[in-house]
Amino acid sequence: MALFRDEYPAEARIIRLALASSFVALGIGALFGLLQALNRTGVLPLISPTDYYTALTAHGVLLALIFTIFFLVAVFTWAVVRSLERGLPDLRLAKLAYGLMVIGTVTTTVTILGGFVPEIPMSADVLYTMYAPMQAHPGFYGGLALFLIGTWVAGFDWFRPGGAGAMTTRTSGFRCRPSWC
Amino acid sequence: MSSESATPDSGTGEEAMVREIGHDEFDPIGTLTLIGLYFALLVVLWLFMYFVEFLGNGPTVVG
Amino acid sequence: MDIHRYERLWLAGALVLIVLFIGTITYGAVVVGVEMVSASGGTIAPDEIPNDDRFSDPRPRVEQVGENEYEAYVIARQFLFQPRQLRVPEGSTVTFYVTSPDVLHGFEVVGTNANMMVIPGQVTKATVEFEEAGSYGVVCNEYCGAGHHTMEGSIEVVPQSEWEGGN
Repeated sequence: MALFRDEYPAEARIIRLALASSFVALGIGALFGLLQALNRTGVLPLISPTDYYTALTAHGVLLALIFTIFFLVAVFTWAVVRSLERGLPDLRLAKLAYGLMVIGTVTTTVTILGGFVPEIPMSADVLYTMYAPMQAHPGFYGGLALFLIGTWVAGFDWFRPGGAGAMTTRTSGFRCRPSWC
Repeated sequence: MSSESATPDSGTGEEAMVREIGHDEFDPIGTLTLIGLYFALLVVLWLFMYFVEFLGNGPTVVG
Repeated sequence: MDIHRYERLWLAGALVLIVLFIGTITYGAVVVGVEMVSASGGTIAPDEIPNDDRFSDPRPRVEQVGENEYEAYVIARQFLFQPRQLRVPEGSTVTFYVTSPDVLHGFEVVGTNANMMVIPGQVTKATVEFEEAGSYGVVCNEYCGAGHHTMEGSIEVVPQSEWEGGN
C-alpha cells in the first residue's frame, strides 16, 4: 500500500508544516494557560497582576484560534487529497495560504506579547475581538485578518478541479465536463 | 413486501449474509430501547434544567 | 403505505417532545411572566450621561415610582458600579436602567436570572421582582479590562420592618 507521503510528497510537506505550526501554538498557548492557572490559584504567581489579561489573551488566541485552525487546515488538506485521490490543484496556493497564516499568526502574537513590555506602546489585552469598543493595537486585528484570508486561500485550493491524478485536468474555473460532476 | 438485510461489501469480494424477513418482522428492539433511554433522559434533563436551574433561580427578568 | 410500528412510535414521541418543549416555554412566558431583556431602554450617547436626569441628577440612584415599584439607575464603568450598593425593600419590583460611558460591561445578580449586558450608547432596561430579603451580589460578567475581576456591587433587599425609604 502506497504511503501518502510517497504518493503526494509536496502535499505531505505542507501538511507536516501546518501540523507542526499547530503544535507550536498549542505548546505556547498551553504554557500561558498553566502560568495563568498558577497565578490565579496563588500557587506560583510568576505573572504580575497587570499582565494577567495579556497572558490570558495569548492563551486564548493561540489555543482557540491558531492551534485549532492550523490543525484543521492540515487535516482537511490530507482528507481532500486522500479521498479525492488527487494532489492539490495548485501547490503555490497552498504555500501562499500557509505563508499568510504564519505571517498573520506572528503579527498577532507579537502585538499580544508586546503587552508584557511596558516600554513598547503595543499591546492587545483584549481576549478576543468581541469586547469592542475596547481596542488593541491594529496589528492584532490585521494579523488575524491575514490568518483568516490564508484559510480562505487554502479552502479555495481544496475545491478546485485538477491536481495530480485528478479525473478532470481543467485547472481554471469551476466548470466540470464529466456528467457526474 | 419483503426486504433484504444484505450488507453491501466494500469491494473485497466477501460473501454478504442474506436473510430475508418481512416488513413487520423487522424488530430492532435494542435500538428502540436505546433511543427510548435517550428520550427519557432528554425529557428529564429538560424539565430539570428549566424548572429547577432556570425558574428555581430566584429573581428573573419579567419585563 | 406500511409504516413500521416503531416509526409510528418515534414520530409520536418526537411530536410529544416538541409539544412539551413549547409548552414549558409558554408556561414560563404566560404564567411566570418570564421575558427577555429587550431594546426598550433606548439609546444614550456616552458623553450625554452627565446631562441625563436619570443618571446624573445628582447621581445614579434608586427611586420609588409606585407602591412597590422602584427604578434603579446604574452606571457601569471601568471598574465599578455607580451606585455600588443598591437598597430596595423586599417584595418590590425593580426596573433597572443601566448604561456605560466606556466599554462593554455586564450586570449580573449572582445566582439569579437577572443578567444583562451593558453597552455604551444603549440603556439596558430590565424589570425584576425581589420577593425575598437578603444581600445579592452583583458582578460584571463581560471582560472590560485590567480591573474586570474586581468589579462588583451588591443589592440589599431589606425586610419591610427595616425599610423606611432610605436610599
